[in-house]
Amino acid sequence: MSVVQIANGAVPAVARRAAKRDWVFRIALIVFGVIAVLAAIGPWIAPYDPTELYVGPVNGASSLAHPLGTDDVGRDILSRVLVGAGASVFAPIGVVLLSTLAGVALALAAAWFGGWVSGGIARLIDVIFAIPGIVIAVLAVAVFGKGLLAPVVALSIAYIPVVARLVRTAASRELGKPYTAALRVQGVSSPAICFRHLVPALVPVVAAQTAIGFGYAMLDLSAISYLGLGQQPPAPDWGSMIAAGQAGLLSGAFEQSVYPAILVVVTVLAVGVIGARVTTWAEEKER
Amino acid sequence: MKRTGIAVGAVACATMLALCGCTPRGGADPDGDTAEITLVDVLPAATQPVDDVTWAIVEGEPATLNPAASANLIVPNLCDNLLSLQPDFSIAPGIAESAEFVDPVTFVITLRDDVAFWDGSPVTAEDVAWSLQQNLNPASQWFGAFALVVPDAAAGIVATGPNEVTVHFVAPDSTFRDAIAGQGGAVMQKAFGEAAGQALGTPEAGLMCTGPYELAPGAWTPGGDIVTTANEQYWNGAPLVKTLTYTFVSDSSTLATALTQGEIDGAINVSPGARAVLEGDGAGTLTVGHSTASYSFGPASATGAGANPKIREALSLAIDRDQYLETVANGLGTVQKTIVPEFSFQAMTEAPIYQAGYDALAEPKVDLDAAKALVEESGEDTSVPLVVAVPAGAKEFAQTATIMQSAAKQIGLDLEIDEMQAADFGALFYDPTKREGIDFVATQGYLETPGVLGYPSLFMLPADQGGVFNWSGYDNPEVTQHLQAARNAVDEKTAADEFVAAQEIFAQDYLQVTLAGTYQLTYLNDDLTGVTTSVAAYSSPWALHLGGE
Repeated sequence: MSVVQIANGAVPAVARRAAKRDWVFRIALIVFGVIAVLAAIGPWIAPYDPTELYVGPVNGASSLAHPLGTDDVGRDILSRVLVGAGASVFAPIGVVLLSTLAGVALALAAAWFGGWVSGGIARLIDVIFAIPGIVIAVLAVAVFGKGLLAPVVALSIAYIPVVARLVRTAASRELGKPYTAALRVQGVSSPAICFRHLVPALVPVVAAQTAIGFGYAMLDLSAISYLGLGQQPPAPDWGSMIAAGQAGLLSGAFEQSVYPAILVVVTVLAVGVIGARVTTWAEEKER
Repeated sequence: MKRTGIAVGAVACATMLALCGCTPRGGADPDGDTAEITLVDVLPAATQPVDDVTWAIVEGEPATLNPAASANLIVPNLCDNLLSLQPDFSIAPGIAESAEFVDPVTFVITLRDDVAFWDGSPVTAEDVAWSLQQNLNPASQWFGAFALVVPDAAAGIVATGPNEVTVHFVAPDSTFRDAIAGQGGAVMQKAFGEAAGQALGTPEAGLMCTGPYELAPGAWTPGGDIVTTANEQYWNGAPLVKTLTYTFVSDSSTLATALTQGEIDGAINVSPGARAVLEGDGAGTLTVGHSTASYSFGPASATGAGANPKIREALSLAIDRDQYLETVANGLGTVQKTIVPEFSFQAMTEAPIYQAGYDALAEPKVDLDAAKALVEESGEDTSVPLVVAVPAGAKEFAQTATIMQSAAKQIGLDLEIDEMQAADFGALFYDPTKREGIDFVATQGYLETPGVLGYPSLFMLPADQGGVFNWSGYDNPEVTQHLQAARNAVDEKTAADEFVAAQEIFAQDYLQVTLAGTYQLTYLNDDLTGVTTSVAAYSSPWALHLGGE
């Protein structure tokens, strides 16, 4: 693949054709789209104040007034799911954006300059890679306090190595192709080669990794909230809702845990499908 | 991602819903009628021998079994107390045939002559004196109960005969007799204890007591279980259970499953949240008994809005106690007016005086307008958030904090929740630095022995007079005087009158805002019977009569 192909719209055409015959991908796109929209407008369409207690019975079952039931202090679960969607969906997006920006920057620097710069970056990435993301996040919470900011920043750092390694390999491969040498011979400046030709060529790889990273980030952030270290009460998010409702499962009051759990599964699944398809297209284009 | 992945995800979601839908729904009944609950404090004594019983300890593995250093449900079956606490919280003779004040500052204990330690050696007055002297150490859990004993061990607690021990006091103490019906009166072998030193009660050193079950060397596997065996020579009749094994299960869901499936035979203090499952079709039965346990919150600092009694009263007025009880205790408890629970004095001679004093207290009520007015009057800066500390991972405390937060919001206060890890939460009771930035601490506590002065002494007396949890610096001379007079009273009526006078004052100062009293919940396999099911289990050999039906 080359910049010429991208300029000619080869990638969108491949994507469009693939999307047209792939109903799983289309459903995943629709599902994620709906979830993202609900996350964005959740606070405005929630039927109840998500923090108001006893709007219904304690551990109430689904009803017309409360379609997803009520939780262990009588709060409306639908309202909490809707309002909590913001933190649950957008925080992972923050993680993948930050990690992608930093990872791509490091990868480009390593691929472009090579030598000791590449070696230094590789060692730094090795060090970060050696520590599990969730451990870094929990340490960050211990140092900077509870809430979403510290885990988001910590997970962003933890995810940098995956992005950087992947992109560095792709960037090195791209830089070794004849068209970059041709651009140099033509006297195109280094920044222009980098940002007008190299970076666009890496988009499919980055996009695929971003989608996959979102799923992992969502699961990790849910786990952190489950431990009580993420979003702080009374603000809802899906992970903390799963944790809070766990004790009610045995009593048959499954709504508080299971509905947010299903949403986490469905969201991660949808994003996983999208990521997998983007990866496949990137590979097809490479061929 | 393959389509099989989608299928797996869909199946997982469907399975979650299906499995949950099959579970019987529990939950609190908003109109729940607690009067329908029958309270049972002891199950009929067993008649059939049983080889093995596995018992779950929900509080987790203790650090030690030394009665002076640990309050747990294992020690009472190992070490006898001098007096015997009955399931109804009355006190009967035990190893001590009699234990009475012979004058206002002299207490004489007369021992039975047929009691032996597990190794067969007889219990002597020297053993008893040494055991009691352990509580003169400020590190002892029961030091407060021995605070008026002459502090010089050799002069304060003396073996005055082969079967007689005399305790000398610096001032009369109306609470001492009750205290030695608890672990403060636990009897250990002096020679064994001295040889073990600081290791007494640990897995390495073990114990040498007289109780109905024996702890053999190596029977405690740290991180695993504690295996005890029947003391066939027990002075009060050998138990019918040959081997009683304690295992440690803190997670309420795991425990409920293990109990109802018969993998574990019984547990005391099971979670009220699992009520529906435990009352359902399982291997055993849930028994509800009297307790002195209660949920409450109190100030953690002498500064800030939490230390202001008007703010505490305002929060109290904003919390619906009936709703709290149904939500947090699943209806298994009572609305409790003040920190001292009714069961703590039910079996005392002057119970009618205590009861009248309790009945005279105002019922907790919801009055948001009055609460808002109190916040205004308090003069506190309501823009500064208050912080309540609760232990992380405990559903009941998460609910308590959420209810407090909602109540605060209703009256114009901003309350933040600090869910602390267990070690940090435990440390804040003794380390002032851990309480920095915290305005309130929410707790659950219980009284192991009869008596009314335990809580007020800890929370209402000045710190230098025993109020170790009086973090707000509360110092009301009238309350202090009445509480001290109650403790120093030489007759029970005076003690009762003085306590009631103190209670009338301190109840209005909301040093601890009591949210609910809870019942003792015991689950026992239907093949077994004979356990104590009231809070007396913490201070009596509750498994002595355990066995088959």
